[in-house]
Amino acid sequence: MTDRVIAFFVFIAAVPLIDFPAYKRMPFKGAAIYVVLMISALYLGYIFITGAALPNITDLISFIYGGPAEALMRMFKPNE
Amino acid sequence: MERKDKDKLDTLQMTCLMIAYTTGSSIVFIPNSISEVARSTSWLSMLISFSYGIIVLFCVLYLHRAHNGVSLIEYSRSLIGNVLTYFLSLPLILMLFFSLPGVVAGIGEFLSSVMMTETPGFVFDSLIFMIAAFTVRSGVKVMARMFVLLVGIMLALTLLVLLMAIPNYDPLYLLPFFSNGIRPVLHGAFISAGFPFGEIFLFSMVFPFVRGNGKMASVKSMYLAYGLSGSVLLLSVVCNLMAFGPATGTLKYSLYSLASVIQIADFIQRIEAIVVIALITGSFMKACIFLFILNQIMVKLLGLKDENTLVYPISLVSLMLSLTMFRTPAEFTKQVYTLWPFTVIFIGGAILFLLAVISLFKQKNRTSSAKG
Repeated sequence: MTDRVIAFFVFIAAVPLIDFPAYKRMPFKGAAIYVVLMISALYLGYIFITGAALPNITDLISFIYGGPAEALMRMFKPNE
Repeated sequence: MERKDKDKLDTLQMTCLMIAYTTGSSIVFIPNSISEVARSTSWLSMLISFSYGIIVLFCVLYLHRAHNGVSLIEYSRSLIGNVLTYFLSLPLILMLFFSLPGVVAGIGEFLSSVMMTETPGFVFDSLIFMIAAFTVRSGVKVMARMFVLLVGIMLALTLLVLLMAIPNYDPLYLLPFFSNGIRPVLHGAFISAGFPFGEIFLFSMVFPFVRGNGKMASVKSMYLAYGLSGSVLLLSVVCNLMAFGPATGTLKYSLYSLASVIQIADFIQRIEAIVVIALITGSFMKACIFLFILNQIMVKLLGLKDENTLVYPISLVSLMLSLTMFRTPAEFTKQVYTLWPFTVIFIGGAILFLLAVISLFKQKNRTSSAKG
């Protein structure tokens, strides 16, 4: 777990540090999306470190498209 | 922001970008996934999905030419308005936040399960994302120049392995046809229509960077590049089938397995490393192009002047997704071969065809009102 914690903090610290010079000229919309993306990264980082079974993008995609996709898969099954 | 012609890609660079995008990671994953369902008729599944991809490419090129070479987001704005464009872009962004980490997770899983079993997966994923982010930030021109070399290496190594494996081929493995009816063939076609042929619709975010705004020379080269990619994938599927027969579907990385059985004159053997080079370069190029497209969609939607603002945070989120989104290899298989083709065909394809139909009607209306 220690290796994951170190790796995650390196990743999460590197991005804002590298982008620091760009902050001043970033428009509001860009800054807002930037913050949203960083918060998403923190959430995913928590899952990465703890291995918690929290909702992820695959759960969202399965929730939206899972039903019709599975129905289609059943249609493709060969007749026994 | 209007680009100067010298900052745009020439025909060769765009062709290489297209080959990298279509062949990329699919050369690793497609032969076994299709063979698993369609067995000896996998090649027919490939031909069906290839034909679907041609229709998608035709629509993409039609929209590109009809709207003076602007991107999907820009012509969507002029066709259906700003609000609907935002609404339709959300599933595209969601799809790309699935596919980009998926490509990198796939190659990370391959490296940590086959090549370097003691190294944690995040080492591979983070390195690939770091280099991909640097590549995308350096601009599409630099990326395309680099890919000219990498595509050459990838195709040459893949073809070399397929040629060297000739003594292992048995054409009888291509029989029987339709042993389980037409449904498995359609299933195989569904998988490969979503991954990689249908994905071509996302390339509409890259076309604005080609010189000449849809002139015939670049259009022809796009079809040529698509045809070449399709032929390489088809060849790879057929060769794997002829080498392993019904077992192809059970081999997780069939091209890698094909390289491992090559033995010529007792001294040319164990050449899997060659395949690994092709696999890594292919997946890396595909990850770069997906990252570039995702960044372009977000930049165009938000109207940001600095195109590089979001590259690093997008890469970071995608990296964390690649490390967390697939809890088990079985989940990876299900998501990539069921949900991804479904979203590509029924969401991406539907958006593209809808825009093409609206554009066609608007153009006809304009022509008839001009005549009247």
